[in-house]
Order: sequence, then structure tokens, then C-alpha cells
Amino acid sequence: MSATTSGVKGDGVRRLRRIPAEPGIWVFAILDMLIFAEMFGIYGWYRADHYEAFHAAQSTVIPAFGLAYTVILLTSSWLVVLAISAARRGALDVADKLARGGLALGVSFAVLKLIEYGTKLGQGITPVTNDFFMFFFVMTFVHLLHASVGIGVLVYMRRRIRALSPGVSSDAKSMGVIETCGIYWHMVDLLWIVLFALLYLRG
Amino acid sequence: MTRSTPNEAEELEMTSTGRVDPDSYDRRLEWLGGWSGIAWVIICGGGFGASGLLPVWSPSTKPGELAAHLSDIKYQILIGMLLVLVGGLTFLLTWSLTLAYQIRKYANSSPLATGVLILTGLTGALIGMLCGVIGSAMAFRVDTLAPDTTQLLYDLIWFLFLIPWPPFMLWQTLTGFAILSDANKQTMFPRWTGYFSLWAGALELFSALSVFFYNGPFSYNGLVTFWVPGVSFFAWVLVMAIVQVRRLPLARAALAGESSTDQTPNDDTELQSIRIPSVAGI
Repeated sequence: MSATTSGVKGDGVRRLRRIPAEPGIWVFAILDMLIFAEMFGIYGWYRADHYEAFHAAQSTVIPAFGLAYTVILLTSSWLVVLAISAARRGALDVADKLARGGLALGVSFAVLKLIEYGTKLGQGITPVTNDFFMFFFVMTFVHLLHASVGIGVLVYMRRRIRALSPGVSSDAKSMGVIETCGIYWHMVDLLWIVLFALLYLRG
Repeated sequence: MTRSTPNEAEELEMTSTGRVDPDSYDRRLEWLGGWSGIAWVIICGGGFGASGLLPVWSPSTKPGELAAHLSDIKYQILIGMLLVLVGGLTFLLTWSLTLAYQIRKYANSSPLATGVLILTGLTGALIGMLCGVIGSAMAFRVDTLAPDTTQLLYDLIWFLFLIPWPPFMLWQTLTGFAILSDANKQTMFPRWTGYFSLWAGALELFSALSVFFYNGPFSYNGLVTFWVPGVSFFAWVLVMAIVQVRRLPLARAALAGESSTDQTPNDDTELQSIRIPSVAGI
């Protein structure tokens, strides 16, 4: 834990601005998002070059899937935020239920994604069909891998919440770990919103 | 260690408490090992640069066109591959061993983790060697080989560079988890280097895409498939090696302080203050 995260209350010392979670996770999140940003940039480049072809291919994507994922992930992220805040005030049962909800939604995102891949492949659409679907499959699959790791992270977060002592305000170190898990999940959510706009919304 | 001559005695290092450090040989090897990582980045990266093989040509290039180009830069390739062999094989070997040793010494002492780190590092060095050998063989015979055979050898260089990604991912993620474990004293490896390793390890996965596409950003010369894992791996070695070199004196001093605590509990107040309890800079 960084010295800047020592949120000791009432110690009479002017508190430094607190960095949520462990500072190291921000190294990971920012570098990871940079790589996605690179992919988004290349996608934009290709799309501008072959606008008609991309537009035609995009019309076969079902926007309802995209909307469903967005709602699922946003709700999941919101439940995780509520779970962390419940854990912080020591309401562990509530926190556990909320985390379980966030986790269930995360799993349903992955299952729905596989169903969508199944329908696409069933129609004979694969990553080598055209450039749009190359980007579609690769970017959403890389995101799905992030989400799968995220599901593991949420399982771990739930275990850490259950390991806290009930009824007391949680210690800074455990809360740091729990928040770190939450930040990873929000990153998955944030990346999805960009993917949704790029791949599912027709401009 | 016996102090037979005054010169040897002079070479022995003094710690900040005035004690003689008996294993200055080990300290020097650790220092050289860290530097060999920096040397790897410069020599192996420079080797690929000097070979004229970068930027990589598209997998969908016509064999005749590719073979003619490779024939033009034959001697450049041979010299570049020589550098790749020095850097890719020798220095990656010394650096990966140093990393495994230092992870064990300063971060996590699990013997299994040490074993896996040594073996994955060895795998990385062998892959570097194979790139150099196949590249040399390709250039050596480029004037007499059928163009599609030359192209196959050319494919092999980049496939070797990219698609054996699983041990690399294991290497980097295991390093990351060892650094993030509670056992890590953080004197040598601050926690952010753990997250950095996990990030670099995750990006190795992009290499897997290269077998599916013949052009575009996901083919073996693509911006995503080639440059992302390639640059992140080189960046990982460079950043870790710089951390290893710069934090070595501090990490060793803290370790010496700890062992002296075991023997003489009241003797280490000065060294205690050297330990780095938080995520500080390099």
C-alpha cells in the first residue's frame, strides 16, 4: 500500500489525497486501455478506408445483443460498487449478496457472448469473412478474455469480503485488495462501452 | 572467503554499518545479471533492426518478390542474426537466471516458482537462438532456394518469435504473482512491477492470432499481433532490468540488515530505515 492511501481518520495530520485501491492496478489498467485504444484507432482507420463495406457488414450485427451486454455490465459494475461500500461499513451479508449479483451478471455476459458467437458462426460468418468481422471477433474475444479473468477476480473479491470481520469497519489493507478487484471490473465495463459504440451502433 | 592479499581485501565491500560484506562476488554477478537484461534489449533489438528484416513483410507477399528482397539484404541479415544469437541466447539466459534468483531472494522463496522461472527463461533464450539460426540458414541459402521455401523459412522466423507465447505468458504472470505475494519484501521489486509483469504477460496472447490472418493488423507483421507483444516483451525486460540494477544496493543493504537482526537484535536501526515499506519510485 502506498503511503498516500493511509486513510487514518482523526489522527490530526492533514490527509493526502487518497488513491483508490492499490496504485499498481492503475499501471495495469492504463497500459491495458492504451492497447485497446491502439486497436480502436486501427479499427477507425480501416473503417474510414472501407466505409461502405464496414457499414454493410455492420448491418448484420444485432444491436439488441450489444444493448443487453451494456445493461448487464453496467448493472454488474454498479452492484460491485455497492458491494464495496457495504463491505467498508461492515455490512458483510449485504456486501456478499451484492457481489454475488455482480458475479452472476458477469457470468451471464460471458454466456450470452458465446451464444452470439454461435449464431454468427451458424450463419457462416467467421473472423476471416471480411475486415469488419475480423475486428468484431478479435476485439470482442480479447474483451471476453478480460471479462473471464474479471469473473475470477470477482470470485476472489467475494472470498476477501467473506473473510472480513462482521460488524466492524474494515481494515485498510483488505479494503485496498477489494477495491483493486473492483477497479479491474470497472475497466472491463468501460472497455465494453467503447466496443458497443464502435461495433454495434451504426453511424 | 579468505583474505589472502591486501588487494583482495580492498575489493571487499563495506556495508553502511561498517561491516565487511563477504559476498561481494555475488553482488557483482547480480549487478552484471541485471545489466545483461539491458544489454539484451540493445543487442537483440539492435540485431533485428540491423538485419533489415524490420518492418516485417506481409505474409501475403508473393514468394518471388520476398526472395528477391531477402537476397538483396543477405549479408545484413547474417550480421543481424549474429547479434540476435549473442543477445537472444546469451544475455536472455543470464538475465532470466538473475531474475529467477532475485525473485527467490527478495520476493518469494517458493522453490517451485524458481524452477518454473528458470525453465521458462531458458525456453525464451532457446527461442531466441532458433530465430537466429533459422534466419541465418535462410540468408545463407537464399540465392539457390526455391522462393516458396525461402518464404517458409521467413514464416518460421516470425512464427518462432510469436507463437510460442504460452511459456512467455507463464514467465511474466508468475513473476507478477510472486512480486504481488505477501512474502515480497519490496526492497528489490516494488508492487507496481508485479502489475506491470501481469500486463506484459497478458499481451503475449495477441501473438496467437498471427496464424489465422494473411494481412491486416492481426497477421504476423501486424500492428497488434507483432508490435504489441514484441514491444511489450522488450519493454518488460528493460524496465525490470533497470529496476534490478538501480535497486540492488538498497535491496542488499536491507537483506544484510535483516540477517544481522537475527544475530544481534540491537544493531540494525540504521538499516531498518533503508527498507522501503511502500510503493516508491524505481
